[in-house]
Parts: sequence; C-alpha cells; structure tokens
Amino acid sequence: MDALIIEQTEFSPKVVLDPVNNKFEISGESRPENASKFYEPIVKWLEQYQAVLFYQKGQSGKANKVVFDISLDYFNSTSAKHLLDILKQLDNYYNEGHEALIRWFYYEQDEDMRDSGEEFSKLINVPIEFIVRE
Amino acid sequence: MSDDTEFIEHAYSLMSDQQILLAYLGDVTPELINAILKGVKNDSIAFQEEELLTKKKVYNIIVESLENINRHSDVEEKQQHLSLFILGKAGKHYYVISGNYIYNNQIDKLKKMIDEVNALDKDDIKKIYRNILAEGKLSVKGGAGLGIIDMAIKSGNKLDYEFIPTGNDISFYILKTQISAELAV
Repeated sequence: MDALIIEQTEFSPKVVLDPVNNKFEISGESRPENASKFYEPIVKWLEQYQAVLFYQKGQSGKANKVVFDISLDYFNSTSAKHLLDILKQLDNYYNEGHEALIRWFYYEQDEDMRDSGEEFSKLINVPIEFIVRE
Repeated sequence: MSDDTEFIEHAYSLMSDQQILLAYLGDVTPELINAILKGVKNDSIAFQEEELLTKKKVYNIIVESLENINRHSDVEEKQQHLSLFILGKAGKHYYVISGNYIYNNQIDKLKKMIDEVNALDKDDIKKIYRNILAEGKLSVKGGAGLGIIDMAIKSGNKLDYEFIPTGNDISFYILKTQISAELAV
C-alpha cells in the first residue's frame, strides 16, 4: 500500500502514513480551512490499511505493530472530531487483535494538550502513551 | 486636523484605558483569521513574556471566537452588519470579545447552550465535550457547540454573553471570554 504524506502548512498538520518504514505520524497545527476535506483521505487510508494488517497476520501469524505518533501544537474544536475518527480507526486495529499504540506528545507546561489526550483516551481501548516533548 | 486630533486622542485613550491589544470591525474572512493568528503566534500582537500555557489558551480562545463569528455570520447585507473582534488584557487577564449579528431564532439555542455550560463545573463540561465528540453530532453548523464548550474548558471561566436587539429580526450577539494569565505554573 502506498504511503500517504501530507506536507505541513502554517495551519494544517504534517501527516505521514508510511507502511514501508512503519511510520505513522501527525504533527504541527490542525486548523485546516476545510477539516472534513483534509481528514477524509487520512481516515480512508487507515481504513484500508486494516486489510493490509489482516493480510499480514494471515501470512505470518502476526501483523506489524502500529505506533501512531500525535505531536500537535494546537488543534481547533472542528479538528477534534476528525482526530477522534483517526483514533477510532486505530482502535479498530487494536480491537481486532493487532498490536497498536498511540504516542501522545505534549509540552510539559501544556496541560491542556495533555488533558485533551486523556479525554480521547476515555473514548477508545487502544492504549495511549503520554510523552513530554523537548 | 483639530477634529482628527480629538478623534485620535479619544481613540488612543479608549484603547489604552481598556488595554486593547487588537480591535477589528468588519467582515471576518478566513484570510483575516489567518492574519490575526500569525500576529498572535509570532508575539507581534499580544504577548511578550507570557507562559506557554497562557499563550496557548489565549490562542485557542481567539481561534474559536473568530471561527464562531465566521460560522455564524449568515445575516445578509454584510455592509450594515459588521462583526466585531477585540483582544485585550486587563490586569492579569486576557479577554476576547466577539460580536456578530444573528437572526433572533438562534438566540434561544445559544442562550441555552451557554447557560448550561456556565452552570457546570470543569469535569462535567468535559463530560459533555466527550459526549458530543463520541456521538459525532456537531450540533449547530459544524461544530458551534463544541467550540463554545472548548472555550469554557480552556478559559476556566464563565462565558459572558449578551444579545442586543436591533429592532428587526436580527440581534447583535456578544460573547466575552476571560483567560487568567496566572494559571501557568
């Protein structure tokens, strides 16, 4: 499956969904002018990737572990809904028996960003690891 | 020039008395929102030596306020129905004021929502935030409800509002949010 890479702009995040290097990441600021349009292909990609994991597991008994890094400086309330859609996709992996982990990066001072991650964690089963950014 | 002088003195003292950092009256376009946020982000509008958490909170409230105006400015004849945005700092508090015209049939819904949020403590507000997220219903026009709730959570203060009737079926909707600058550890 081809990687999906979206370059960062001042108000929209960088997105890396790269199965070859097993790297999954969203970072920067999320305030895209049209959040639905921005997030739709990302959620769709993650949906399709579930089939790849399923295939891997069938072939070798175990799929690659998905570690998804979320390292956002800021996201607006409209983006929150779409971030949850992403997390729910990862939750699907996890609930289907694949190894998945979300790493939630935040600045130590930024307790609101940590809180947001904790709110999300209450809505999903896949574990979230909280990591202080440098 | 003397007329101008008087006006400038008046504007100057008004803006300094109220500690206004930025005041805008006009159409709130996505381009304007970006321009304001750029200025806030690079510290040229508001901050000098504020804690990161304060900066982020204020930034957050500014975004939601401006997007709220942009989302709700559906009253026609934009020339006569300008939106207002003010960012100021009074003592230790930053404040953000948005003002925009809305149709009167929106008032009850907005009032109810803000009153409801104001009556709850932070944990309960978060619960509502989670519920709205989980149910995926973004209520009034793609996210308005979530924006208000987010402002209440991030500011840690009650939201102040007023609806000023304009005589026809339109009112001027003012929303004021305060952010305490001392919150940062």
